[in-house]
This record gives sequence, structure tokens and C-alpha cells, in this order.
Amino acid sequence: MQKYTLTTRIIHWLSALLIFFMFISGWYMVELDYYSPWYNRLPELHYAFGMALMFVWFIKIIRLLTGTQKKLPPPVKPFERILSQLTQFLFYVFVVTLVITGYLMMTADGQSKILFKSINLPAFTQFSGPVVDTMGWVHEYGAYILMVFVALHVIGAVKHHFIDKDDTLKRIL
Amino acid sequence: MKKLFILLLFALTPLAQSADYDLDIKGSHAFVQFKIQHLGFSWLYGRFDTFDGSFSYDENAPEKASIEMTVQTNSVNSNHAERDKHLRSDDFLNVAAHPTAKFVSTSFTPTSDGHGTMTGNLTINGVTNEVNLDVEFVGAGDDPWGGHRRGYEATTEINLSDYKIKRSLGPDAEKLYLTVSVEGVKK
Repeated sequence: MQKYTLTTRIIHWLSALLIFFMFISGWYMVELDYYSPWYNRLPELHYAFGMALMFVWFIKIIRLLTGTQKKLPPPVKPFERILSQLTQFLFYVFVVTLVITGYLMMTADGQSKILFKSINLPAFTQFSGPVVDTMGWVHEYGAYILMVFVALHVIGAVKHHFIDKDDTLKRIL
Repeated sequence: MKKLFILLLFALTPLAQSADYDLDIKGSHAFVQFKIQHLGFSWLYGRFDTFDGSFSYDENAPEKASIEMTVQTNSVNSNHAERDKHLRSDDFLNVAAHPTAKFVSTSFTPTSDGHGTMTGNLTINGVTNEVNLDVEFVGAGDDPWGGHRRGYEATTEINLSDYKIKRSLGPDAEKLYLTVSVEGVKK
């Protein structure tokens, strides 16, 4: 069995952790009570980990485009291959969309955002209320749709491991 | 004949010199401001940037004064994009369902010097309540550009729960102080 390179595997599991944290924190933070000690802390963590995800996926996309992130021939049927590739392609579409809308909403004041009193994130431009609300809608529902693809991706991996009993999952571990 | 003509002239002239004024939106000499306490520690100020309206006032019959104003709720501005997004959501103003807030006067009780109390129906978040605004007459006269202007500042207090605002930020942030400061240009 030929495994993915160590860097590819690290980026994969780092992305998985970050995306999982982003979804849970994003889902939870908007429901927090105003008097909760997490009311300001959790959004700040959501922004910080969002920036980490942006950084990891910047590297991931560079590696993909330069061919460093090597594809292994998956031991699967053509149909499964199309489904899997489409799901993974949509990951790129949705993660990039979520990161961009998140960043633009975070800096919609037109003022740079300062995280943990030290990390300065510059604002590119200022946005009007209706534009921010549209981005918020895209960000929220985009996240739900992304989770559907994540579920599909996980179901695929579990199916290969336990039903087909092939190396698809093992290669990324 | 001359007598008849004068009589006719009087008949055609409205008894009261009622004048209608449009709010000076173009020159932005009208403001819808609010303040509310933050945790009981300080005042948070905000405003609505987009609104329109008109009023009428007759010096000979001030009790007939009336005003109508419509505010675009998505223009709420507290100088903080994230807070404004939250204020537009269904936790507060629910601007998607209720894009406008409205005040339509029903009666005016003049006191002295042009001041008085304006009573009317205030609609916020789709809920209408009767409110009384303390109206202070600021000034009136010819402007330097050939128009005639008249200005007022009105204040009132409203309880957010009266307008079914879903989210409460605590007992100190229940009462909102509203100030509507307007300058009208005679039509």
C-alpha cells in the first residue's frame, strides 16, 4: 500500500479538525447568551481558527496547482471516483467561499480587525448592511451544505474501510 | 362688484395658512437617533441612516400639526458592523420581515412657543403602539437659498418588549430613548 505523503496527511487532518471546530463554534456562538463569558471569546476563536484554515488551504491549493499534492489511483469504480472527486472539488469551492465571506464580514466596518490584541487583519473595503446580510446568509447556508459533503466524504471512507475492505482510508492515516 | 370680488377672494383663500414641509433628506438635516444603556454602565448611541417624511404646521392652528415618517430599518447604524448585523437579524429588528418602521401622528397638543406633545402610532417590528413625543420647536424662517424652513426636536422613551423585540440584553437595556430631530423645507 502506498500512503499519501506525510505533508498531505498532516494538511488533511489539520483541515478536518479546523473545519469541524469552525462549524461547531460558528453554530454555537450565534446562540450564546449576552451574559455568557464566551460571548466575545468564542467569536474571536472562530475568527482566529478561520485564519488558520485560510492559511492551511492557501498552502493546500498551491500544492494542488503545482502538482505537489499527488493523487493516488483509488481502487474504486468509475462512478465512485466521479462522486469522490466532485465532493472533494466542492470542498474547495465551499471552504474558499466560507473563508472569503467570513473575512469580509469580519472586516465589514472598513477597519482592520485585531485578534488577541496582536494579530492585525486588514480591511479591504467597507460593506453596506444588505451586502453584509447576504454574505451572512451565504456563510451560514454554505456551512450547512459543506457539512453535507463532509458527511458524504466520511461515509465514503467508512464504506471503503469496512465494506469494501480496501486501503482508501488507510492511505490517509 | 368690488365687494363681491373681495368676498370671493376670501372664500378661495384657505382660512388657515397651513403649510406642508418635506424633511430635508437631501441636505441631511434630519436625524433618527437612539440611545440605550449597555449593561447599565454606559450609553450606546445609534441611528437610522435612511428615512423620509413630511409634516404640516399652521401657525394659526397649531393643534392641527401632523407628521408622518418612514424609516428603513436595515439602515440601522451603531458604528459596528457586527453589532449592526445582529440588530438587523430577527433577534432585534427583523428587517427581512419588517423592512420599515413608521410613525403616523394622530394629534398634537400645543403648549407654548410652538412646543407641544405629538401623539401618534409608532410601528416597529410590525407592532404598533401609541406613543407621545415631547416636541421642542427649534426655529423657523427663510433660509439663505430662497426656501422656508422649520425645525423640531422630539424625544420619547419606548420599551423594547412592547415591540416584541425577541432578544433581551438585560433589565438595563430594556428602555430605549428615541430622538427625532428634523428640519422641514416648505413645499
